[in-house]
Amino acid sequence: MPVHLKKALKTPETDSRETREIVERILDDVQQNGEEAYLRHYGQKFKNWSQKLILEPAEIAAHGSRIPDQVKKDLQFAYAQVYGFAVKQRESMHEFETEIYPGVTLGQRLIPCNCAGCYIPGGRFAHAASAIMSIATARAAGVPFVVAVSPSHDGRTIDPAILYAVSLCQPDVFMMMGGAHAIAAMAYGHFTGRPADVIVGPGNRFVAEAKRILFGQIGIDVFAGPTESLVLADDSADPYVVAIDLMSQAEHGYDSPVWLVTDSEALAQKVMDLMPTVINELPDPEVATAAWNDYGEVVLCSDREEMARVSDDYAAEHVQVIAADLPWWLKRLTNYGSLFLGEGCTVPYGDKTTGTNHILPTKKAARYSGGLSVGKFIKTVTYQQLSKAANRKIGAVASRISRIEGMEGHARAADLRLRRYFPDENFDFEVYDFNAERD
Amino acid sequence: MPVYLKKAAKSAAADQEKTRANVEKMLADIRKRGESAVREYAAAFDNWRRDFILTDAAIDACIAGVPQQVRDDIAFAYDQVYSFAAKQRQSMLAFETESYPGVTLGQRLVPCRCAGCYVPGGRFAHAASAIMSVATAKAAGVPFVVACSPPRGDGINPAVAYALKLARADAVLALGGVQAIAAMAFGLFTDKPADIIVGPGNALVAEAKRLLFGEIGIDVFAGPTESMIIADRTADPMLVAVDLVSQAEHGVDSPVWLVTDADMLAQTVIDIMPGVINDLPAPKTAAAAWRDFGEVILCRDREEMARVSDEYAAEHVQVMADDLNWYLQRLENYGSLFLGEACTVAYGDKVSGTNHILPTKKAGRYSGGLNVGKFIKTLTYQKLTPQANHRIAAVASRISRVEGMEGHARAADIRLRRYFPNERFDFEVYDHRIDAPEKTYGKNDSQGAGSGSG
Repeated sequence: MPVHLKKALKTPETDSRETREIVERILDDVQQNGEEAYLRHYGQKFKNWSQKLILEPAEIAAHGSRIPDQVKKDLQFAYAQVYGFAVKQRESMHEFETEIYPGVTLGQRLIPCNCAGCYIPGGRFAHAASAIMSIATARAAGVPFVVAVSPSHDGRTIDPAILYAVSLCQPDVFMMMGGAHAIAAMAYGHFTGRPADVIVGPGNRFVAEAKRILFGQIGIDVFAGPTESLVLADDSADPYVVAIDLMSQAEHGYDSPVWLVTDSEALAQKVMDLMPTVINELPDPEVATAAWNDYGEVVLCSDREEMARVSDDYAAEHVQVIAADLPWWLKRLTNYGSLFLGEGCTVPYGDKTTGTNHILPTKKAARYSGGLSVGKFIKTVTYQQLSKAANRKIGAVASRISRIEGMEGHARAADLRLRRYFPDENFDFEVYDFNAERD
Repeated sequence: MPVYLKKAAKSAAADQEKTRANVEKMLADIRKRGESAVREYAAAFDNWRRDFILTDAAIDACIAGVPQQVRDDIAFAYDQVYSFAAKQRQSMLAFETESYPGVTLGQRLVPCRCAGCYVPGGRFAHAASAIMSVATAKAAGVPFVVACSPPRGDGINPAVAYALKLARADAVLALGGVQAIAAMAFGLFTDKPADIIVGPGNALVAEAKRLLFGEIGIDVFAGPTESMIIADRTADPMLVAVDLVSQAEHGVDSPVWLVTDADMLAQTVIDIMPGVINDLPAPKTAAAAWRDFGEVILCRDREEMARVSDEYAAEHVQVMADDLNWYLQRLENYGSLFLGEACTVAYGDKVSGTNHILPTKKAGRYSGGLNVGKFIKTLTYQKLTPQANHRIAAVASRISRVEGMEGHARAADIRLRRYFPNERFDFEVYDHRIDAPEKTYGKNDSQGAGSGSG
């Protein structure tokens, strides 16, 4: 049995009724009052509102160019990596056509959504990488029209790093909007005339709730909860590296859980000893401290099989393995958003630059879904075509199964073809005779 | 502009608030009281007081009376559906790529561990539905599949039971409605909580899936079945009418739509619909569906027809028109497409091999229907050499600091300091003041990383 050397004191809050009510009110408001509702909202929210929701490409480029050249090159590199990986993902999905039975052609087409909405969060951090994760992936999937939004702090501007990333990705429309209003605007096509088919990207609880409520009407990427990281480490791991990596993910938010799962008690103790110091060395240690105190866990297991089991139970957004025999872990683990193998790669690499997507499933959604990938923008649809001769078998089976199921109308759609295509045939099962009935 | 020769008198919806409230209450109750709550609901709604899990013997007893011809037909349908799903599985590839020297990125395709398949009861015996969900889950590689179908007689519908056995469901429960969805989601009676729940059902079942979504994955939001026929002057009005009727029989709220650029065809179809419907032994449902939800839309040309069809984003789209290939290339929003007079939607519903669990209510704008991919997680992984850290860590560190994420930057920095102890960096790299642990912890064998905290 795994032993919790440190256990979370809190569990992240879910489904707050208050959040739902606020978001439902906003959605009702914009549905009833249209674009007017946004103007009223932002007029009240910002004293010096620029009255501007859509930023033109030239303005985006101008603001974005204010960041240092080195950062521009870094974001270009990240963009190339993320876009490159997304293209490989697209290439790993194939259309096909097959003759599954003589005269029966079945096919699969991969059709990108017509319009995608990408939410780039604001808040404490300037999420330049998030802009790339959503927009570049939509582009690689072949989505013809991409709307992107990001909130402004003051109603006038947005962080230049985000704008530079946006200028690299070239969405078709970029709007300075945040929260549930931004999700609503994309879903209903306000200000763009293009309702989004799918809306992706992380955000605060209002953004997540708006996506949850609208899901069905629109597609979404994943349910976004607080960032989670789980480190699997054995006695070959360096406790200091483990502690730094845990701290790096705990800084996301007060409710961001980080978990250490290990079969080495010495390592576990050492990491727990180091954590307060590593956190306190941060210029701004409050968030990570709260996250570690309230949500951090250290789980001691008897062997790697038990560690893997615990990890799959947690189904964490990020799983990092600092242990021997990495191929074993790669094969064995089944529930995670993205996996980081070996000390040589830490979760922030995936967050920022290596190329895998950082929009990933949280709160155990990794039990049923991967993270954002080109596939989330692509519809796997089927088609079929039959020769008349093939109707002899397919029409007969469809007719008989339909009648067993009690679906006479279905049966007759098959029967009519049997009668038409095989007029001289004597069938040894019930085939509706249209002419006899209609005389 | 398209002209409506017949327009729907009603639109679906209504009663949603009430449905949600009822389903929310049941889910909360079952979440709290577990199996005993499920037993009470099953007794109250279905008068079922026996074990829910059907043993192999119970299933065999259930299917004993299924005629050989029916068995053969269900087996044929199963073969078609399973082979198409297997082809779909083959069309998805895992891969590994070196995206930058020393940076290995990979994609794995991992099936969910437990799938729940709901097979509806109600007016029809949905034998084909059992195949559509369970066979597809199995082709995707799901190791444990739970199936639920409402109780009937001493078990469940015999044809459904036969299909479930053929499709190799790992557990079969005589359980229906919200209590079935809840039992699968929470792992009641099987001890295997489903990661994903699929399959059509009534409004309550659909709402239960919608409310649980997030906690579990689902296939698609299931609304009433929809069918659209795109037909030009080459189409035979009788075939069009019979096909529309065949889909209108699903339910009183099942819309069927005809989109055409031939006025003559439209008029003839409208004229013969009542006759075709009244020919049915039980015409009420189809009559109501056609009266309340049926539409006939006249367009100027095929481009306009395609545009209307993509706006409706119907679950089934059938094309009886010239130049089928043009439609295959042009149409974008549908669940499944039926090309030419020689294949009717009923073929896909029952036997040809494509899945019949498909997006409704315009969900075809963002999702295809049930396919192996819905049971498979597209996961990513990565691995870096210490050398590759020189570039990747530097970029990650700098972007993190621009974003204001100091902790993230430091996770990169410590690797820069460790792997390149003698390097002088021309950008900010945190100098970790705590020394490396006095004792040497063996470094990860595959990394062979350096040491020293700089």
